Amino acid sequence: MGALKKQLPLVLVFVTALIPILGRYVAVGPFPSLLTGTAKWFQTASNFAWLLGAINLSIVYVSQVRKKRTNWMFSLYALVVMWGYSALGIIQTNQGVAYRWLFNAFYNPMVATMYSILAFYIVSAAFRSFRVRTVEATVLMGCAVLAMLGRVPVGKIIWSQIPDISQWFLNVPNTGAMRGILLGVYLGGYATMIRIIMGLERAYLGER
Amino acid sequence: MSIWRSLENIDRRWIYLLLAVVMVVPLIKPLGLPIDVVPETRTVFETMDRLPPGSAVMVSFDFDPSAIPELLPMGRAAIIHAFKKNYRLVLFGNWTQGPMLAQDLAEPIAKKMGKEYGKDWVNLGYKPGGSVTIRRMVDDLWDGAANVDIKGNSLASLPIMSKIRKLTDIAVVFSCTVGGSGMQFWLEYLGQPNGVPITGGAVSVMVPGYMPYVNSGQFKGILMGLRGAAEYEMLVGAPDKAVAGMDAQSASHLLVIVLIILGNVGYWVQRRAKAAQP
Repeated sequence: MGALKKQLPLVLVFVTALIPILGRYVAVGPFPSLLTGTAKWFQTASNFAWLLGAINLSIVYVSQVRKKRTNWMFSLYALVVMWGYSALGIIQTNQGVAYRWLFNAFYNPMVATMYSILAFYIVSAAFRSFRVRTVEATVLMGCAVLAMLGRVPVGKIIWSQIPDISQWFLNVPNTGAMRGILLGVYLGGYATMIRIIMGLERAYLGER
Repeated sequence: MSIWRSLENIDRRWIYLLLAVVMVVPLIKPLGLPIDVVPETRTVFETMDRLPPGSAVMVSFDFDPSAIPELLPMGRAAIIHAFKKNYRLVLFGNWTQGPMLAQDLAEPIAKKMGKEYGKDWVNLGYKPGGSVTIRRMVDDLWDGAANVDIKGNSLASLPIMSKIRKLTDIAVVFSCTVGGSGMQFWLEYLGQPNGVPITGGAVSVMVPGYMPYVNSGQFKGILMGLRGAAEYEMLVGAPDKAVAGMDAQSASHLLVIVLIILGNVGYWVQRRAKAAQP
């Protein structure tokens, strides 16, 4: 049983990884159609992932409510809203009047407000953190000021060259640095992918 | 407490209040500061503008309500642009709420511009799967979209879809992007392998990460946050919330800079005073 628990996931990962690779790189026989087949399978599986997420969340919240843990009423509220809104969507479809009203009158403004509050924290954080303590901090602050002024019309009114300098920072040093980071990220991704396929990386099995 | 110490430690509640004031006042009474168009925005506009009438254009709302202030104006301008040029418009979204936002936005615009749903435009709705869904739509758009639009209509019943069977039948994809499953997905799974131009815009914080793709020409320009949306609104000839929001953004950026200067003045005066003490 133990061997099955360890070996089966490794075999499954190897085989399921091999199918799209063969589909992508072998252009003869049945292989190209494998790619379409796995794509269909993946899309279907991702539909179930939503349901799995909702069930998982429900298990956690129901447990919170049953044990009356701190702020358990918020868990109950989350359960009612999640399943209630889902039921409304299933009954009315996304074109239903009540469904759309709840979306436009509650969900939209609440999410937008949550995100907008960040602006206040960012301004406060910028005020406290951009202090000219070291050379590095000064360079960081200078770049931040240029970026802020370069992205708004008032920057050009202050000095006509500010937008050009800001754009140069974005196009040259930023692009160069981002290219390096992206190459590193993707090479690291490939290396990890190969390790997972070969069964060398087993963190997903709970191993260290 | 000395004035310099006060400057270094302004209470955050005053900062919040000041920010609210400098953002709200220009929204109520716009200053009308001039907005220049950067080359990246002009490339987006030209990519969308140069297609022959009747071309199929996809506008993908790859965001949720948190990004409405920056991305909804871009989507609105792209929809107006597509209708003005008499393109066939396909709306889509890799984020669950995106297509619903698109529907609420497009319906009044279409009505005003005399465009008919199903004939001139369609909304495919949200389809789970992200990159894999795009990959499937490249082979068979109908199958990848589960053969239904956002309203549950069969795609076969919509005249606009008769000549749009694969994603490669789309002339340009315009993505309004807030996360990973936006412009980058479209580029990796449609643009790069199949030569379909990918353009659009992203929230400001994502733009530095996308500049390598813009400078290599893989993205056909980019609208950079609210500023890009404002520039695009002006090019399309439909100025709206993004243009109005630029004055508020100017004022808020100036406030941040003034606060940073004040904080540093306070910090340096105190530091010198400490150094001068025996």
